Amino acid sequence: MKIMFKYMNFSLGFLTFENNDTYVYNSNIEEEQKAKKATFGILDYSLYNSNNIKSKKIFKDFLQFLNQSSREDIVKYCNIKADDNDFQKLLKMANKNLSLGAYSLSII
Amino acid sequence: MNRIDLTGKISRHPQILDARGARPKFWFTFLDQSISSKQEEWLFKNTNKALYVDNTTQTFEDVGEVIFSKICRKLGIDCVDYKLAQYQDNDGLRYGVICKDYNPEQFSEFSGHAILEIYTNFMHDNFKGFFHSNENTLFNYKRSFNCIMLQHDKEKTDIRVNVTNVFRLLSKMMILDYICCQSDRNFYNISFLLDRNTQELKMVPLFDNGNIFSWNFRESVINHQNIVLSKEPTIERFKELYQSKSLALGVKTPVSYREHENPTKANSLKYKDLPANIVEDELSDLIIEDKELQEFLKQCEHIPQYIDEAFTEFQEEYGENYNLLRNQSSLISKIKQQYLLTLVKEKIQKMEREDENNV
Repeated sequence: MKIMFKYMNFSLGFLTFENNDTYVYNSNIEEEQKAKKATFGILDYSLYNSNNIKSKKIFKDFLQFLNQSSREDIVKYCNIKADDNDFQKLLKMANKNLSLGAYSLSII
Repeated sequence: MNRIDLTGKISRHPQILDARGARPKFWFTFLDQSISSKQEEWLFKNTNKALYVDNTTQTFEDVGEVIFSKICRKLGIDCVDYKLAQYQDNDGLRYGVICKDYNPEQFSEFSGHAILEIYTNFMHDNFKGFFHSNENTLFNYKRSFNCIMLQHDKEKTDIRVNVTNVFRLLSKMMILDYICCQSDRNFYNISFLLDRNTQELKMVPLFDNGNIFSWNFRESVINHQNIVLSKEPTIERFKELYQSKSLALGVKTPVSYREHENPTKANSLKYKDLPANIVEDELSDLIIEDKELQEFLKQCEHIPQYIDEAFTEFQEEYGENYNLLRNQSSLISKIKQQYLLTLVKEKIQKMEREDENNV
């Protein structure tokens, strides 16, 4: 399962979770450039030009969503469980196309 | 209780939730187009953490949102217009506020954090990786606006910002935040829109103001402040209260303490001991340099009166009377406005003395 990270209609890149312990992010470089141009580079986004970058910790850009995963209405709407890991929480949010202002998650 | 009852009167947006902020919220449109057209989107925001009405967690944040927007209107400050509302869904009754979407044209929106990153990145890229903190200060905003204009002039980018105007709006907001003890003006509660027709960056109306005068705290906290300040309405007494409850009475701006790696999260440990004089110094320095801000501060002398009027309007609209909040906020706003004015006067006198000595 992949999680698409979007800014407005621009699909900036996607996140996967390898072996249940490593986050991997790949940019959609063409879309990133379009978003960058449309926003004159002000986009709050730190994952430009990512090519299979890996991390044991979740990337900063997804934290804004994770921080909201305990909000009561989001827990209820996305069916987030207490024992879900961070990637599962993000997947459930993406499954509901959750938006955070102009940013949103979706499943691909 | 005359809250606007949304039950059975609205159509909820297909992408129901908005995940911004700590409070549950959702988008909707009114079914009855005589109230609002189909195109107009509205946001319902719970004003306490619990989804459903629960007397143990209820605060006065909803009153805060409505009263602050009324004060702003009287001062000529652009603020989101909030109204008290309630909504019954299958699981219970929700109390909150509603407001119209401030970005109906779907312009690109940037948080204060995104704007502050411009200067941080500029310094990093042009000065050999130099790290400049993106702290939520007025001067950091000004630096970022100047960077935008530098790119506009040198690299011929289309985006532009009227630095003087936007900076002045931000300064007025922070003066008002200081006087009203708005304790949650973090860099996600300041926002900007890029008008695609003019390519100009504009500040959005003030939003998320429910935490004024510690109305997000228990009634007993507010009552204690009211008793202490009624007996002795002085800045000294206020500062004693501030020492024990800086989270309630403080202004997170212009110094916002956020975790660097996770800026959407407040670092409450660091914030605990936020000294008030940093804010007061920065504000008074700004005010002495700008006549319009001096006029605005004088106009803020009327805030206790505006609070009184706002509560009277509130009572007429919603049938709810909050004498405790009315008294406590009038006392605090008067003390803080007068103190800031005194600081400004002292600084101006000091400057005049220095000028005379130089002559």
